[in-house]
Amino acid sequence: MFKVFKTPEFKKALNFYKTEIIENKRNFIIAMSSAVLWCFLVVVQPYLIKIIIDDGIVTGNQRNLIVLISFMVLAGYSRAISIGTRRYFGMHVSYNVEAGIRNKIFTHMQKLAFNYHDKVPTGELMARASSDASQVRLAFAIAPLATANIFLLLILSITLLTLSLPLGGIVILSIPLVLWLASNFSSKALDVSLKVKEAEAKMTTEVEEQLGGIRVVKAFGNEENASTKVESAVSNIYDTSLDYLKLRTRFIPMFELIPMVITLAVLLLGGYLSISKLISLGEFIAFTQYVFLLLWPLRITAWFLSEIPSSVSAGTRILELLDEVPLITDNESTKTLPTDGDGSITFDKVNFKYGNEKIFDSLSFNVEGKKTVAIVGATGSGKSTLAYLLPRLYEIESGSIKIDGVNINDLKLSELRSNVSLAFEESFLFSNSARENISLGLDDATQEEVEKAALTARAHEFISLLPESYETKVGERGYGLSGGQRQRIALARAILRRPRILILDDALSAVDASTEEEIRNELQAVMENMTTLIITNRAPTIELCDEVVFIEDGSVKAQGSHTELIDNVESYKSLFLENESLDTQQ
Amino acid sequence: MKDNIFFRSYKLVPEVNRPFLYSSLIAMAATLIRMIGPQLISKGIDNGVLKSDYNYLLEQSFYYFLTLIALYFVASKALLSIGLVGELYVRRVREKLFRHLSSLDINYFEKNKTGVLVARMTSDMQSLNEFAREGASSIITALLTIFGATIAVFLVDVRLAFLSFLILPLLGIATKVFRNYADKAYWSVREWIGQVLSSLQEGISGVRIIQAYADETSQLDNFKEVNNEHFKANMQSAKNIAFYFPFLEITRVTSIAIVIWFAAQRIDQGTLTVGELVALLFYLNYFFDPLIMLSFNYDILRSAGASMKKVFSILDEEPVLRNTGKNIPDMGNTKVIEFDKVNFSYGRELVLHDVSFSINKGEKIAIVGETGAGKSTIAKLMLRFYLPSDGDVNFYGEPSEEVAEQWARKNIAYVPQESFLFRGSIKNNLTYSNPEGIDLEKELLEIGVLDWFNRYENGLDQEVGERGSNVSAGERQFIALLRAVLAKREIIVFDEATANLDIESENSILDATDTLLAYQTSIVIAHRLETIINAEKIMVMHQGKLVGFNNHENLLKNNDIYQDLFSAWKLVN
Repeated sequence: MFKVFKTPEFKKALNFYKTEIIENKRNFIIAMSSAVLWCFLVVVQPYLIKIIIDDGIVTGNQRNLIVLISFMVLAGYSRAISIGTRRYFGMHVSYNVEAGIRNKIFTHMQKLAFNYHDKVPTGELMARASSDASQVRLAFAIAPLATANIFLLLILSITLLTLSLPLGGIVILSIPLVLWLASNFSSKALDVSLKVKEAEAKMTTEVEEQLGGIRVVKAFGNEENASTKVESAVSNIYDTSLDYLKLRTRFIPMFELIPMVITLAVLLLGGYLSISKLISLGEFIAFTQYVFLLLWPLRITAWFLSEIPSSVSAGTRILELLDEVPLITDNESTKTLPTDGDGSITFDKVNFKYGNEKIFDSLSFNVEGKKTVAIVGATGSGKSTLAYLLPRLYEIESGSIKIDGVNINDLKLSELRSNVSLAFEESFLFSNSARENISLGLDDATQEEVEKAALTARAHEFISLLPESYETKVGERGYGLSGGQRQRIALARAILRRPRILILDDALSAVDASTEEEIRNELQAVMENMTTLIITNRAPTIELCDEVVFIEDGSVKAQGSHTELIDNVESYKSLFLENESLDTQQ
Repeated sequence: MKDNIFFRSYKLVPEVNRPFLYSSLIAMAATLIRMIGPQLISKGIDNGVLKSDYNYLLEQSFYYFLTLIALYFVASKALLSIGLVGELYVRRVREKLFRHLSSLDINYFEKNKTGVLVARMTSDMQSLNEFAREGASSIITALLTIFGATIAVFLVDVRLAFLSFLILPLLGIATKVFRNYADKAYWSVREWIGQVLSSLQEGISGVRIIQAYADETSQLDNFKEVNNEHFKANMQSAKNIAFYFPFLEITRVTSIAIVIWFAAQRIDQGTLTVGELVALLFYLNYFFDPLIMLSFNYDILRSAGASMKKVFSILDEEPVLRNTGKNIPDMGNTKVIEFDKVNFSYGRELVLHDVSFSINKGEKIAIVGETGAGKSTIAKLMLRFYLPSDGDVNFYGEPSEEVAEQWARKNIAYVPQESFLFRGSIKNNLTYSNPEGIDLEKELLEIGVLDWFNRYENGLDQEVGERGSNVSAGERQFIALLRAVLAKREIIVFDEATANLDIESENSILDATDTLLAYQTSIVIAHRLETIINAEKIMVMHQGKLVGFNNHENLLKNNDIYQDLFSAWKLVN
């Protein structure tokens, strides 16, 4: 009968809710106890009215009347206080749960490796942390009230039973009826509500993407196209919501109807009993009062029950994310990099696949410590992927990568990543200050260190000219700065941590020639103390390097000096053909 | 002002006005039916139970039963139609909001973070939806029930009715005080949820950098801080409610006590029956219960109001560029772009000083200069992303202010520094400017780059991830360049758009554009000598001023700044 409550999703969600409750034990208990107190005081109310009518009004005893009314008022005021308490602490629990879920999602997201983020759009994750988390919160907001109401229903049933067995019996029938209705509704609504959530996440994704690419949208005058896309996602929400709405409107009025039908039954039977003098008039009236008392608790219970499918489907979606196992984690090994190591790198028969696409097929090469090596290859040959493998941002399929003789899989991620510093092709800046962007991951960096790194990266000059110098916020993704300026901040970020291995992934592509020259000169001093991999196809940069690793078709085609490779490797030479011919032109 | 928000919200989507009235009428009908019940019960008790007339009771019960059946149908109908109105309303607001957002100037997106705007489309709409789904119907029903109950109470006994409502002014004052606090609290809740989402968005889109730099802890700390501010704002609103709600209960019980006390006297005097007192207590429940329901929803209402305020703050934003200029320039004119004494500032100091030049049809222009010289700003003015602060930018002789936004967008192609790709196939990205009109394979074959896409497993149908996440930066740039070339606009602007490409790929595209789009006027911002030397004329920028505009040879002879730049290249090469 109540199968839906036994489904694995339901149980999982329930477990999840349980842990959340345990985390908020104290406030939850306060909210619950004030809810229960409230219930008790609610039940007392019609009982008091019954006594007032029977002992005060019917007998005309003024003193009794005064005492009883004051009692009723006192109970009422205590009830008021219990409402306030319940509300405050109940909300505290629910908002805390919501904030906690968001923190958990944020933390977990940071642990998931690149391949997860390549797959799952930002908007999808945002939807889970925003609307889905709010949906779960809603269940917690109603929970104390609903539980208290269920408790109240029980007390009422017992009271009614003691007042009159047959009348009470009829009333109690309503409880399994409501539960049955609720489970029936839940089993139908769960899927529909999941569809609504998915539609909402799709829209979030669409909006996030179209707004993120608004410059492209506008540049092509494609606002209409963007709006159409968002509108189709919006209309999808509308359609699924209507399905859900229709389901709700079939069920919800029934929850209201049940207590009314019960009232009717009570009226008929109670009237009969009263006429037959089997119960007193006061008893009968108190009884009808109790039955009316059932109306709102039943409605609130129904409301709560009708929110359950939404909440469970939202909870399921959140759990799905939190259950995603981070692929790249620390293993048990406690190895560390040798302190006297100079940053030598060994790639040994590395195989790597991206999805189904084979990127590296038994890629092997060695780089001696403190050398500066250019990684060269045509666009799309996997140069950047190579840069990602070294700090273990993607996991290799087989083979091994060693730094100073230690397999990178045996190192703690935090140690590995603080020793390998990577300046990405596209310099992502956070909407923080310039200083915070440079000292990313190094909270204890001093202002001098930051400035020194910025000087080397030729970023100091323009940062000093910003309105608040190093404390100037650089805007979302660094909009407002030119591409070259952004790259120089990203470069400063990479060298600030004085890593064992520095990887520059086309990190100067947007910098103008004279500045590039200056940076290169500055970098030489820095690079002397570390192993540097420079991913580039620009001859002048390559000529600075001790060695070239040339990648073609997923493996190392050749390794040696630039001139050697130009002379001996035809496909390498063709990469620079245009360059060379230009040089001879000059 | 606060009511104004609700009035404006009502007017925002006129098409729901009629269904809204209609559904309110149905809700009213449901309420009326609900009110009949206690009337029948009261009669049944007074004339049936008290007078031991069981048949009369049966008769009344039968009527009651009929109202219940009617109630089910009317109540579901009311719920459905109000729900429909709510869903439709939220849908239309979303549509309007996004349409408006997409019409706003680029400028707006430089000031407002994507995450905050996403919050307006999601979280704020959720609070609106909550109101539409639960609140709207409950509030109408509750208001009508209260209204009905008030009348009913007066019908039973006028004097007792006045007595029972004696305490209401107290509730009124409490409500007013609550409202002031609530509006402030909800506004700050909406503020902070925007911050939460934008911090979240940054944490997700920057996740690659965060992991590479092992910066997870401090990112989480930042997020927690913002998240905690949102929590605090929420708790402020909870505190308001926790103080306000008890007032309702106090009012209720006080009112009931007063009624019972005076009713007892009247029953004593024989001017009131017990049945009437019971009915009165019924109706008072009907008065106060929905009032409590209402206060639940009042909360939701104020929260939705704060969201709507946020929505209006976007809708009130003027799309300046779209609203200025209606003219379509005469494209027969050979002066494609002309700057006449242009000054420009983004708000603070001038970044362009007195820049004048003109570009003729079909010319290939390069802009050079050090970082911060104003190259990108010139590009943005050429794209009509901004209007000049002073002086004129003319397109085919038509001043920028007079040119229709749509003309500019459909005749000038732009390749920005970041190559933004959309999720979907490479094909969809390439045909972005005109999905139906481009015969992609044929065009690519003509340009000679069709083979380039063989590198992908699925060729042109290869799916790219968000922002092109699964293709390399160079490939992204190649696709973005092709996208602009395939748009075949009269004017094309490349903003440092070839930096990540290898020379081979870059040349294949630039050669293609040269031959295929000979009519096209192109403007390239570049750092590479190779790219610059290909240009017919070179614009040399220095500290916001145009210091030279000539071909390579002449500049090399006469222009100091160009000579400096060139010697840097020479050094490099």
